[in-house]
Amino acid sequence: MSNSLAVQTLLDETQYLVSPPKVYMKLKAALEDPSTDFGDLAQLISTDVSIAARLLKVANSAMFNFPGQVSSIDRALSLIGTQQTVDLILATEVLKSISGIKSDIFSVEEFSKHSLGCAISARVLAQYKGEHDIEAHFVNGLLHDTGRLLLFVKYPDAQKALLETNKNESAPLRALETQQYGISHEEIGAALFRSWGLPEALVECTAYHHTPMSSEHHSFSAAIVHVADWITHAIPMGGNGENFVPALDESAWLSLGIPESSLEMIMTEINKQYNSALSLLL
Amino acid sequence: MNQLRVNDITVGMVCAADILNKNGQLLIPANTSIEEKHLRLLKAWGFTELPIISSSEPAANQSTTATPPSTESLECRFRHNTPSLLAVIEMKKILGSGKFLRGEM
Repeated sequence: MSNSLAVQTLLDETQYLVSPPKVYMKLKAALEDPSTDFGDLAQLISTDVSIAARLLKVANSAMFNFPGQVSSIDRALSLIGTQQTVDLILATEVLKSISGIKSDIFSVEEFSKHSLGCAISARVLAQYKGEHDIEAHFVNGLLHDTGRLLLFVKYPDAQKALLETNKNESAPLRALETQQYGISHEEIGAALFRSWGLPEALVECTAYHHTPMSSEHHSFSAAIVHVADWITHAIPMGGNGENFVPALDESAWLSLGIPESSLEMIMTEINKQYNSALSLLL
Repeated sequence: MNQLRVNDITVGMVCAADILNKNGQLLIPANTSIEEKHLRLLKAWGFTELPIISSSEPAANQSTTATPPSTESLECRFRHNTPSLLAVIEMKKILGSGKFLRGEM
């Protein structure tokens, strides 16, 4: 109980830093309303010019490789799919609010790159596995470390000390944080997303991205984020403060059934999409 | 690699990344040695700063940045991973080949 109290206090004090994705919330409600048509959705998206612009940039990136220019929201919706577009909008909204954060002790840019790298990796892995809704995996990867972001902003001095210990004594940053605060960055992120009413799969992927097999209903999606995070640290793409590549969970890796011989090909595709998305999203 | 102001860039320095215009068109590819005409064009295009790999000996420095990570540094970075896992062995092999070296900005 004291844990959930501590999480609530932390959320109350840091919520203002990352705002709930308003356009996404409206779109989600619209999707659930049977009277909503295509034009209504396009209209809603167009009300936020910066989000509409970001969506078009993503639609024109190497993530999709559509022939020709995608120049309207209508066209993006029909090419990408409505649910997938709404997922991408969640991603662009939260990424926008993250990149507005200022910090002296960690690089927001590096953190954003880590988030984007994990998002692209999760998307490529999901695509490799023949998943339909690959944009949902993109969102899961993008937001997995939001809890740590709140820790950096709320406890800059303590986090600075933990970063030093992580570097000098080689203990995983995640373990040091849990020791220091009594809660993990995974639990904090999950609590935030639950309080926003975001999809349960996202909540579980955030909660279990280091221990995916503990996820009750979404262990496959959590395993995707886990392996994506591992690849993101290994290459590396950006950084989230952790100085070492987190341990790969053997059961999680095996559960995806990806042959080791495919790893290089998957990483090559990730690298290509990441380099393209980098200039577009950040 | 440094972000240098266009005014501080001199002939012979090497671009660390592709230089694109706002529409994503490639103006100067990564690893291009800057010439006098580039400097004129960069100013005309309105660039204020560029990512630069080296200042004096581009070739020598380039080969330094392209060195694959040593076994020791990989072992250190992967210390929390189970060394006998096939995926971990494969990942270290891929990274050790130097294929995924990136000029992070």
